[in-house]
Amino acid sequence: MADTPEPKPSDIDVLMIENPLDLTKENIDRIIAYTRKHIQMLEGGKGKAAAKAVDAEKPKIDVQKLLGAKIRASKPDAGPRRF
Amino acid sequence: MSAPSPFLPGTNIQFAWDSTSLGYFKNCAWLYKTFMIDGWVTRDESIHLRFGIEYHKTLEDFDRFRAQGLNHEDALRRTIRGAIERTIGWDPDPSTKAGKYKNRWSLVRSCVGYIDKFRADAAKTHILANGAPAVELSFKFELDWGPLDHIQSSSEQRRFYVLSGHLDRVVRLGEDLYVMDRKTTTSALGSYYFTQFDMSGQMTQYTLAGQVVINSPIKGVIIDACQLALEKPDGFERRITHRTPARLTEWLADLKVWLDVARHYAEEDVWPRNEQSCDKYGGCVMLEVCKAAPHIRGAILKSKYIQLPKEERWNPLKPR
Repeated sequence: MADTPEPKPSDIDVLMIENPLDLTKENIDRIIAYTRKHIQMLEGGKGKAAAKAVDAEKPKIDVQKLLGAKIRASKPDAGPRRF
Repeated sequence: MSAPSPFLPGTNIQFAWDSTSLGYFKNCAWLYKTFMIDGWVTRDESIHLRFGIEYHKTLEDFDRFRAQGLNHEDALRRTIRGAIERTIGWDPDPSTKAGKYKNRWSLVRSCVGYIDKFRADAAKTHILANGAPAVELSFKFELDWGPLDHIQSSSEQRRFYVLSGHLDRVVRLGEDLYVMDRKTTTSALGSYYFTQFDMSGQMTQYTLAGQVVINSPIKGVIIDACQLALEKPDGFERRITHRTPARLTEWLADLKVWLDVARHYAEEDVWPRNEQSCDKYGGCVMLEVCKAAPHIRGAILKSKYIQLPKEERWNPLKPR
């Protein structure tokens, strides 16, 4: 059987390897799905209570915790906000 | 490598201008001097700035991935991954208004909202002659006059003024080209909000710069604004502000006067306050300093503001 070249890792795969949070593609999909559902609930005019209901159906990874994670310090560039 | 100074050596005469520094100067010379020359910023400023940078970078990534041929979902996935990774450790103080509205969660939420809202976008990223998408384009070009023209005519050492900045994106809408600029705000996105851009020097400069970079006529700027909200969905609105060639010419003529005034103030080291601007943009960030007695202003600055080291101060020549 002829040798099959190793598949070239996509940029996403490289990012996944380098990602200290080790997020998988599915993790990112869940974050996006969660965000969309959150937006939809708010658009439905159901406000904070509805948003909390979405929180109750949160994906297995904790989005809020993830986005609040303190892994490494990062420093913003200096300067003003745009006019 | 650090960026070159936008000031003539040994002076406070700025020769390289972007819309931010020019906007500060036109608003108030004292505000300009405090920010551009002395490097004082508010503590909230770093949150606004970081959010602005990440918001623009995230949407720019998406535009780039789409222009490379990725479908909507794949481009979105890569974009959001990048945003999450870049902002690890960024933890704005939620007890401040800035931190409440601008944080990692609102970044992801607003970017997903924006990208989905304009999923079937009639505005298409312009492709440059070299095949690259016209996304986050830095520009820097010389004007045909300089800060020392009044005392120096030798063309050999003549220093010209430079206009610099960054364009989020150049798009084609129908037959016409526009610069696209993205804004975030906590204000309502009504006519009152968008009216400010009709005379905006930033939008005029972007139109002018777009024409230089693309080497084609640009009709104006498409403003995609996002209203960040807490307990309701973020709002998204698009409006166009047009600029005719006559208005560009007029703006350049005015600019010559403005830059002369800036040079004069720097030479004389006088920085008059413009009290007509104090209530703009929800109140000037330096209002607390200016309204205090002159002898305690220094103490207020030191206790409530941050003085950035020179290399971290706003610099129109700093590449992105």
